[in-house]
Amino acid sequence: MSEAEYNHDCTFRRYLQDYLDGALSTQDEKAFIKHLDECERCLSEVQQYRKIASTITADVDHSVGDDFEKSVLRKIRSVPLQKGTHIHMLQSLRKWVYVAAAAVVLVAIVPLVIYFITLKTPVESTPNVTAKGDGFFGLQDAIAATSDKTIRTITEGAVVLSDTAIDHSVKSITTITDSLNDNLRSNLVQLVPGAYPQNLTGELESTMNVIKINLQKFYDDMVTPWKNII
Amino acid sequence: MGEPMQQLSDSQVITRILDGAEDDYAVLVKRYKNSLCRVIYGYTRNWDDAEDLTQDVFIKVYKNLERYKAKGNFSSWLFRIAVNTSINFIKKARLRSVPLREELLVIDTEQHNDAPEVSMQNMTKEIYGGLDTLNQNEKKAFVLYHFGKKTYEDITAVLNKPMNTIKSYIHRARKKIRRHLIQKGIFQ
Repeated sequence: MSEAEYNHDCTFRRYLQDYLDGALSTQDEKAFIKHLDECERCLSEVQQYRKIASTITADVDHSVGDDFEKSVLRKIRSVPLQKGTHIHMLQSLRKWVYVAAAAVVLVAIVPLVIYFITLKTPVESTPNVTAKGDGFFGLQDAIAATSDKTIRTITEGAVVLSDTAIDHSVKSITTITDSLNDNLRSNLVQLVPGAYPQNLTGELESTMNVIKINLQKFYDDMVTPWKNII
Repeated sequence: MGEPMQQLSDSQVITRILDGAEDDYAVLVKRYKNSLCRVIYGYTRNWDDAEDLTQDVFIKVYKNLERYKAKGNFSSWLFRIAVNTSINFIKKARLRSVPLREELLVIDTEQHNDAPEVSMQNMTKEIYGGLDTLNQNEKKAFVLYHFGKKTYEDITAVLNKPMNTIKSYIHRARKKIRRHLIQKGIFQ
């Protein structure tokens, strides 16, 4: 059959597929059936499509056995479904994922926050630090007390205390920095394999040095003069 | 299982299953097993594989029955999973180079040559050959229509495409298969 014959030119041919589907209106269907009496090609094509359909229908004439349902039920009993089981499992799992994520954030971020707040901020504000509880309280008292020679001894004691406090602060910050450094390094390595903890170490060490220098400057600027006066 | 259970809608049966009546799933399996198996057979061309896959589909659907509640039409969902499972099966089979429906690869040449009537076996073989010339959408629609005996409305819901698109897929598929049969000398 040539291409031209395969696609034979017939005005009724456009109804052929809908006719096969039973989708023509009663009037159109009657007209098409009448046309089939007159058009051998359309009739042949309809018969061929029906042959295809009937061959498939014959080939799939198969019934699944009666024990099929039992077999399916046996298998699903090994994965029993309770109402909402899977949803609840997912929700529960999701909750734990959130908890784990929060824990990771805490472990990883909190040291960073502490690093920036505790270590970096004092770098900029150290010269002005005189707040209570920071180890320099005694110095502030000493400065205030210098106008009162009667408590000179107390002032001397305060300056000595301040000196000690600064040493103590440097040691404390060193300890904290080392501790943070270790935590950050291990957390970073856990979170980002292949991270560069040595850079972090370098940055922290550099920050520590700045802190020490600032503390020393503070000591030199504020404490040494008072020592000399005393 | 009494007659009343068979009269329940899919939704009603599923509600019972989710409420703990696990055995009621048999109602849905019985309701759809044959048409589902025929659709899968349209891909596997082997009844043993088709039945195994049909069982897998029912188990997969059961495991995810909770999800159906929000989806609506159970039958559409079931057949969509069946079609996708079948396509995956075929892909894997091709990767393993396992010939599908080996019995059809044996051409009944004796009957074909001696008789003007084409043997049913050869005709069937070439129809499946024609199926292989279809694109994925045409094949899905054709298999659901001719193998699963689904209506255009059903197929519209399964494939989530407009009715006219589905009609177009099926009509094109028929024409391609007919053309294949003409090229193979099955049709004059």
